[in-house]
Amino acid sequence: MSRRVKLVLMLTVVLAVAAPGVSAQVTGTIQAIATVAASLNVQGTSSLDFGTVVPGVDLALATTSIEAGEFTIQSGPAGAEVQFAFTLPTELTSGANSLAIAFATTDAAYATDALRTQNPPTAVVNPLITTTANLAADGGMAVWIGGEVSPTAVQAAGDYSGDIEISVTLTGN
Amino acid sequence: MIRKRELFKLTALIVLAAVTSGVAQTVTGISDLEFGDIFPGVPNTVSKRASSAAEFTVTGTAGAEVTLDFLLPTYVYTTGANMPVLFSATDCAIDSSLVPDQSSPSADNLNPYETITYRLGAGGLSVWLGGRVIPGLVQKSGNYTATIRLTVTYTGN
Repeated sequence: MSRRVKLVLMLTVVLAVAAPGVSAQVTGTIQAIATVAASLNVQGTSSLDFGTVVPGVDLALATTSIEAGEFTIQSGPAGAEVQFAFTLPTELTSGANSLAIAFATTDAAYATDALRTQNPPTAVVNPLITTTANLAADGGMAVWIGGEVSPTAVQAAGDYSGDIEISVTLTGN
Repeated sequence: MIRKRELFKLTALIVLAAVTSGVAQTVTGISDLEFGDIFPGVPNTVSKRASSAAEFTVTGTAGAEVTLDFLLPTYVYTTGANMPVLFSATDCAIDSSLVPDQSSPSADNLNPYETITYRLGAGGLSVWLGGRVIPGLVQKSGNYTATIRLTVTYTGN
């Protein structure tokens, strides 16, 4: 092979390697990015406190009462839609004794204004069904619940209690 | 019988042709796929139409056929935790127009899990990708990321 032919072959290789813009395959990358925020914070901040009741005398507490049960929701996304539902007792217990408790269709309320105004609240809702509402701009909400106990005429004396549970779910809307 | 001088000319012509036959081909990641702030238990979908969709641009020889292949993550990650990220069979769109239109792309509802074959336009190609993340009910808070890779290959057609 002559020197000229060798030179041509070398030149071919050099040009082929150095040739820009004819790459057969190129790759680009980006990132998928998500920030997971802390979970909603839901706390029971006040018990539904009927105080001392008298045998044979029903006692009802309104959602606007200072003795109403209160839940506080915090650290949600601003204005996000949530659904909340209660798990409600049908009786309070004191050892082996029980005391009937009932909830009416207007026995829950919530507030999403900045001051979480209890009276009047943002809305009065039915604690027996799921409520859909939007959190406040600060990602929070206050929820109140009232109810009525009906002691019998021979209700045994004692401290009666039962759990009221609220479940709050972000709908994604 | 080709003489040595002719061989030199012939070889030089072939090399020159190779150098000038293609325009520089590039793939550039323009925008990340941004799911933003999400909450445990609440899945979040980013449409390929959204401003937060992923976007790549491809440049190269106008009219050349190329194949596009994504390498897609199954999870996004943060320290000590991961979160599923999903892509549907219609999560990709591309547009070869000189002025690419994300809202009305020339090829829509493409499957990012399959090889996509298309021709580059005068301005190349714009490629958009949506997706969905599924945080668990007790998903650890934090910043999650993963790489999405797009490989573009000239087919020679």
